[in-house]
Amino acid sequence: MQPSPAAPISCRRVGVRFPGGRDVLTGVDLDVPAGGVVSLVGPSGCGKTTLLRCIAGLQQPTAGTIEPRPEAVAPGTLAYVFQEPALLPWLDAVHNVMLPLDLVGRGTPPARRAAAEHWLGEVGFGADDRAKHPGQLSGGMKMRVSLARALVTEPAILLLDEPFAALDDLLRTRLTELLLDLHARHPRTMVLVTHNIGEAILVGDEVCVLDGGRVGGRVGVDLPRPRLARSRGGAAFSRLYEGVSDMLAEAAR
Amino acid sequence: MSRPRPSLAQLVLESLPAAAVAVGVVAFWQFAVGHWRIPAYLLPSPAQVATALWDRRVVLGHALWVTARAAVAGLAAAAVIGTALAILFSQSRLVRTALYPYVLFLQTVPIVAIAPLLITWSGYGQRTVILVSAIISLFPILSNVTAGLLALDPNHRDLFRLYRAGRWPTLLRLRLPTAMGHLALGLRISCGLAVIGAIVGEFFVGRGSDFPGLGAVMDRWLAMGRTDALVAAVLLSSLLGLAMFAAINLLTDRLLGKYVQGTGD
Repeated sequence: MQPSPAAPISCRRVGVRFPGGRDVLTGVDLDVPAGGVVSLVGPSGCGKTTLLRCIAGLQQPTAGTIEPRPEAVAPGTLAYVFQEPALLPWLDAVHNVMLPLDLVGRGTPPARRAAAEHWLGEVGFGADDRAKHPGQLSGGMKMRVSLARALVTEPAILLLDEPFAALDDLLRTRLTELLLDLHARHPRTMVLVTHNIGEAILVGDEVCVLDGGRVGGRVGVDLPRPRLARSRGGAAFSRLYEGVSDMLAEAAR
Repeated sequence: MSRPRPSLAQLVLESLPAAAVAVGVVAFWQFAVGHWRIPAYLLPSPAQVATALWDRRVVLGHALWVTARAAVAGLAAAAVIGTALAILFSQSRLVRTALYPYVLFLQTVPIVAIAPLLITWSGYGQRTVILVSAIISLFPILSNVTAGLLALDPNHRDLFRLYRAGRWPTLLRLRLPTAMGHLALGLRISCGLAVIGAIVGEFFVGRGSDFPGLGAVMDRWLAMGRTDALVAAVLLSSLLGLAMFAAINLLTDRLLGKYVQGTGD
């Protein structure tokens, strides 16, 4: 399976007005360089998920432009990890991961299976559990399958919508480290929506704070890579944390 | 997680209260008939019913087989037609709004009112009995499967949109599997109705022929005042309904079980 080359994302004055007339996004400008990672934070209801859905093509913006246009790229170029694992309960882990390849019609069935098994291995999912159905898996295992499913098409752009929000702290830390490790080994353009400031700093090259329907502030993250969860302890991390916290407090006011 | 199967001892233990009630009811019935000298044409004693059951075992056995076959065929036809119509309904709101009132009509029209019409069109035979059984069992299957086909998890729907899955892949890989649990529910509701439909159909069909089904023989024994045989046939009808329900539960658990378990999201 040929990986798609990482592609930049460019949002210009993106606006979204909901049918009731409420403006969720009022002119978002956001750039993510090819292979770069931007973390989006902001108060609840500020439009983080809406922006991510627009980039994925799951929702049409009512104003502005987004590049690449989702309808102009080959299916499988964009991948999305939902807040819940969203696995199909009637398929086992391998077939859940194969699903995107089946839907876009890429590769032969044996090649699809091999790709699914490869990516399950990459996210640390045990070979013995591949035939298990979602109802037999723990929350962390399901999220690993969900990650593998997003990666199986070798997407150029990976969009993550609070993927670890429902997990306990220990599991969340482990999966954040897995995400960092995956990005180090297979760099691709990523946008991570999160409520967790530490996670946003640890994963992103830049943290953008959404405020009032637009990007209200940006903090560049100059921490060296590879990063580990224990990088959180340093002075540089604390300075960044304070910077993002102050912006969030301003946005919440 | 799949449900752990109860052991035989657990099943026996759980059935004890219901069995005790049955024994109590039969004992009181036997006592009441003797004590108040109730005539047999009004209410025969359990012993008389048991004797009628034994004496007419060949006729009743054959009648049970004929009715069971018609009920199963009616339910199967309702499942196939109901699922096919539900697929049609799920594809377009226009089709749904155009056809749904007529499906509702099929549900609300009293089956005893259209049974004579069905005989006019389809004759005094098993086909008519199956038709009545299928019509009466259709609605729960159709409405449940339609609801299942339309009740997609928003994330699943987004996932299929993300990979630009067309109408057919979405139907086959997402909508139909999602609706399987609803089909199982519809079948469970309809299996009792299928038996009722078959018996009602046989009442009418039996009046113009020597049809051998339970409904037809019950109608004949009613005319002859053989209440003991009638009660025996009623008991067999109830047992048939229970057996159908148990069989459908087993079948849906085996075949559709994996579609029904949750993701635990």
